[in-house]
Amino acid sequence: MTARSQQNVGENGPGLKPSRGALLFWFCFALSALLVIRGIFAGVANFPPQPWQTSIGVMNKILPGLEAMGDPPASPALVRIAMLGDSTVDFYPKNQKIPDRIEAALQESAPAPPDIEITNLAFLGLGPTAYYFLADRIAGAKPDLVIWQVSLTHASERWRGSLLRPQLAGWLPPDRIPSALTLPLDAIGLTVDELLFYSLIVQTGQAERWQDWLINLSRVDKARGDLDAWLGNSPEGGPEKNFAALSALIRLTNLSGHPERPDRYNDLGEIDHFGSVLEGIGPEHPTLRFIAAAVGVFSEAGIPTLVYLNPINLEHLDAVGVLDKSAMERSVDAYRSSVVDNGGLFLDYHDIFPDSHFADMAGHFRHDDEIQTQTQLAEKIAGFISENKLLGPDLPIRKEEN
Amino acid sequence: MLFNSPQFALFLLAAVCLYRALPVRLRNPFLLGASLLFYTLWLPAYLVLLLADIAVNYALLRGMVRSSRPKLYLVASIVFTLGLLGTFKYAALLVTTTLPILEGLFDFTGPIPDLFLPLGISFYSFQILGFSIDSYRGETRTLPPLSRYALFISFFPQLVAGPILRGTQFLPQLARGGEITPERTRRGLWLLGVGLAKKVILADYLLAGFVDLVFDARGVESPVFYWVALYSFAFQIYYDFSGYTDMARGIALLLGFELPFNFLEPYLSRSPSEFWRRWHITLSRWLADYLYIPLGGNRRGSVRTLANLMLTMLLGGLWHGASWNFVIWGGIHGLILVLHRALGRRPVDLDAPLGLRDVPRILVVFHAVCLAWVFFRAEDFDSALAFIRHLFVGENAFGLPWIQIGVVVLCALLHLAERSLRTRLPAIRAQLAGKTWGDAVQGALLGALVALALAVSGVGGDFIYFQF
Repeated sequence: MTARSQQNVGENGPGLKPSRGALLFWFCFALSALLVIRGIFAGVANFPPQPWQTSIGVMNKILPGLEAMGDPPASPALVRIAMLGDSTVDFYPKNQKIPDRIEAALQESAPAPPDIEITNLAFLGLGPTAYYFLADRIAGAKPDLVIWQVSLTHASERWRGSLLRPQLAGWLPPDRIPSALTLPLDAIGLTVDELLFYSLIVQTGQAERWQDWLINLSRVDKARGDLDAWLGNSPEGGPEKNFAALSALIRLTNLSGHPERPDRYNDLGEIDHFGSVLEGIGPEHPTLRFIAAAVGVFSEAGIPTLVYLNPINLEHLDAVGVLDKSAMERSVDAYRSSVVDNGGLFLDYHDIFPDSHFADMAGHFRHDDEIQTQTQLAEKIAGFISENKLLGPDLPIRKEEN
Repeated sequence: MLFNSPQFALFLLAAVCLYRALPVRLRNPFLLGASLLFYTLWLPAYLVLLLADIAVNYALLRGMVRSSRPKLYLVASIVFTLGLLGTFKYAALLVTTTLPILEGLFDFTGPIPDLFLPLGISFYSFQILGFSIDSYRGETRTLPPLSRYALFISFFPQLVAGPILRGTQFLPQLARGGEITPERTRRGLWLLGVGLAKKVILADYLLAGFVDLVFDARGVESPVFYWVALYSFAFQIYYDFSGYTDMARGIALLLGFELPFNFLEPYLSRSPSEFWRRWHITLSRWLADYLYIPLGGNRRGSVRTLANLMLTMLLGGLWHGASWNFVIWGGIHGLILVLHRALGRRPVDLDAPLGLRDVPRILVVFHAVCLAWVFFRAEDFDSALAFIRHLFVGENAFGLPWIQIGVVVLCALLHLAERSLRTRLPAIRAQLAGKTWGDAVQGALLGALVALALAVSGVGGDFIYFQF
């Protein structure tokens, strides 16, 4: 910086006029930064990201579904249902997912079946907080009914620690932000500045660029892991065979797998998986407050909401000695009250299936030639809907429109 | 707001531009508003506690100045401030420790408090206490106006993780107002960029993954991995915390204020006492001035001196967190210091050049510090012991972690380079000043560094010291 330019910007008073030296500094700063960023991102472009590798990638699936649901229905008689949930809803092959099976069961259940369309908004790891952030948008698409799968694992510390997508808070409408601030955002690791920043990005229409940026960041993150894996798997073997092998071993030793059942956790694994639910939680639990708030949004919009508590492998929990039935009932009651007290309907299915109906330690359902657990569950849900005439002409939204 | 987040970049840009555009008399009020906003944006509930702490302590300071019995006001300030800190930070530890005893003796059970830990409470509590004690001692000439006192406590660049400021050091700067100069601005930008790079590239991208992998492992027996993880953690916590401090100092410089050093290449220390003059310097000085010396320091015989040292380090450990592991960590450092003093310590010149003859002592001190870090990082006491056992027992079944060894060597070289750079920077700056190509080179280098940090920021992570 020249002596003259120092005089220009060196005074201790107000003034933002930059000197030539400062302009050159910032020009070179910007140019160099741009080149480095572009260079790095070009270098890792071969690491293809999956939708779940970025926190907001799920919106690529949710938004088209919501837009389609928000369009005028093809026929006035068409009943539209939004299906919410995590991978235990969406995990199965095409046409065998729970919304597909519910739709089929509903079509078969009545002599004059209603014209039904279920939009599957379920996705891997989408839990109560994510749906709270998206609740207004879902309500805005005006489904006739919301079916929402919640699970006892959603209240565990592990879920909150690993499967949240706090960035989805960006899709919260600005007028909802004040009430969002009354919820335990700190429990999900979301600070006020993050909430406002994510909202700013989405409100200014920059979500796609944000997604591109996050994809590139995830590629850079993956690059180092892949380098380690490549060294570990190199045909020459040698001393580099370390990080990948260690990672694999640690995964095995840390996941607390059951010694005789590779598809089940042991007691430590289950305690980690379910967390404080095993000790009994109350309605003040952060996860339940988000469920209550989301059901409240749907109720405010006049949309009936059917929340079902996902089946869990109680038999295995009992077998590994971590099941305290009275504590579990307390937790279930807390889930129920968080839904019912806010105008939702609650179905408790947590104890309906034996161990043989579960495919893995994460609680996904077995779906093979012998047992189609998700179909059985879907039929139960469809049965409840039919018995209680939830899709009849008395639908609250239909009444409102009439 | 984390310093390494994009929303903080926006906040900082707006704050610095507006601050510089304002007339000088409005800058401090603006800075106070910005600082309180910064704190509120984390979690609004935290603000109430911070304001209460400031208001009550300021009222007590006013009482102290006017009263003929100022000690009463000092005691009230200490009790109130430590009471808040104890309630929010240590209540759960106290209850979980005493409950089993009460259950055994009186069949008494009770709930374990589940209070949120207000951000930075350990740092601002010590700053408040330091100023109250200085005022009582008459080291601060006059009581500043409430708004200036509030800004001194809540100054956003150092509010949540230090450096811990002294009133005598910072209040005169606030009274004068920030002195913005091109040199400070340029130095501030460099500190900001280097701090960001230390945190994001070194601590998060290159070090944290391996550390987490090995520290969280159970039953893996491969001592080399544990040693490399130990060295990695030593550098991770250093680059994490010193990166934060560099950013804090850089931001303050952009606003025209000088904050003190908090680190001076601590892993090049030649003795344990030198380490504590180079690591978290503002905390070490605080503990020395407000705890060790009031306890009697080294003035009451050798046994009392060693006891004072030990007590200071134990409490210093507890300051870091509500866990017995931190107390043990402090205790280990206390023992090392006691042993060093008992063996007859020699005074050390911090700026004396390093020679080959210093290498053995540096290595011994570094390894002692590293072993103590195990208790700092491990989840609990048993995990720490297991980790230490794995350092010495087992077969190296997985070969050598070459990549991570390379990272550790890189970190060590950078640590050495830091010392060299620190002493030569003024001369380099003087050479670059006034040259057009100097502006271009500096801009390009800083841009590349910041871009590299941005590109690897997907790993992300809170600053380790924010939890204290």
